Amino acid sequence: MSRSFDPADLTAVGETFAEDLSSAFPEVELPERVVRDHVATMISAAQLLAEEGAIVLEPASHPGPERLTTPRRRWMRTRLIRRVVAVASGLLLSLSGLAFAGAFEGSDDPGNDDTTAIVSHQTDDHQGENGDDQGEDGDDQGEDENADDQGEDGDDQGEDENADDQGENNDDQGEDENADDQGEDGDDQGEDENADDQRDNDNTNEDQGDNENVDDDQGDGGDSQD
Amino acid sequence: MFGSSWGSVLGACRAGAEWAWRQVYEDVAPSLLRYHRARGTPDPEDLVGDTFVRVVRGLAGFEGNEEQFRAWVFAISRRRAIDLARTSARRPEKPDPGDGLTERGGTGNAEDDAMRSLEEQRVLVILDRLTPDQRDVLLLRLLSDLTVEQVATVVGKSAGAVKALQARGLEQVRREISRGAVTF
Repeated sequence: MSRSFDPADLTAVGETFAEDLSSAFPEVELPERVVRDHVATMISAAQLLAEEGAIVLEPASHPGPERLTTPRRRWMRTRLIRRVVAVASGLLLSLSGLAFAGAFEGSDDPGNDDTTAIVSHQTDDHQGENGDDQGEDGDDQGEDENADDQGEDGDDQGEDENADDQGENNDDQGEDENADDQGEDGDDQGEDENADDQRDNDNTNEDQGDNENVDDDQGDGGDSQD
Repeated sequence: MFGSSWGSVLGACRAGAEWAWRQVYEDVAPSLLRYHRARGTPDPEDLVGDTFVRVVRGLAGFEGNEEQFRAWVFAISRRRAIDLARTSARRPEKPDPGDGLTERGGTGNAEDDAMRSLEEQRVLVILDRLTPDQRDVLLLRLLSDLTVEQVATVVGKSAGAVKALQARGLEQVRREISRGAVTF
């Protein structure tokens, strides 16, 4: 190492002041007692660092694999694993419970579809028997056709009520011709009440026609009885 | 100075060899103590001991030669002295009446100690007229015998800034001496 005190860099004042400084603060050897105490403290600090595995040198967030050997680190790792397993188990139980409940409710859907089909049969029957009832039902379907179906199926499927319910209804309509007729009638009735009325009237006329036929049959029967 | 044996000494220090730490301490501590006494640091011996404990703790992160090690130790010690000064400024303590010439390295001869005390007081008055950075630079350059680069490392400035601080500090010293304000 080169000597830093370069006279060329310093003025004469600097040299004088440097001498004053050296005479005012001479280099004094530290007492042996002080040296011993300080060195002993340094060695203790070095031993403490060696026992701790030089934790100071590495960030605590990224300990190396060899760092995970002390009892405290093993205990912390075990505790962390336990927490992760507990959270995962709770989540799994919750999801399985939801899935289980969803399975039960899903099993009710075909029943509802059957019920819908039965109701549609009954409605068709009523159309033949009573035109006024058909007209009232037609008005209700025209005003809120999807809402009724969605209200029934919506409780079962929750998040995507419209899409699922419509799909199921479409399937049902495909399977059941009567249900298709019912749906088409419902749409027509919703769009044009007059048309519904006409159809109702037609049905009524047909019914009346049927009744006439019945009368004829009765008449015929009467004739035959005669 | 260790010279070519510096590598082995540093390796022994890393291994925790007491003899190596003792050699390093005996090599650096006297000039460090001298710097802190001139700087007016309270309890300079305690500060030197505290500095070396911090050196032990941080040695694993140190890479460099002997000159860089010396500058690194002085930088640690200076920062610690600044921290202690801030702490004592918030919580001022009464000066210890036992502080005397003997604790400052007195020779035991009353006349010599008195003359040295006068010289010390005169120099301290001049140093008090300097800014803290000028004072640190002059003490590290003239008293602790560090190079410009080493002083730059210690005070955390560039070599050019250190040279400028040194020049301005010496100009201030010249003015104080020519004014005769510090004659006794």
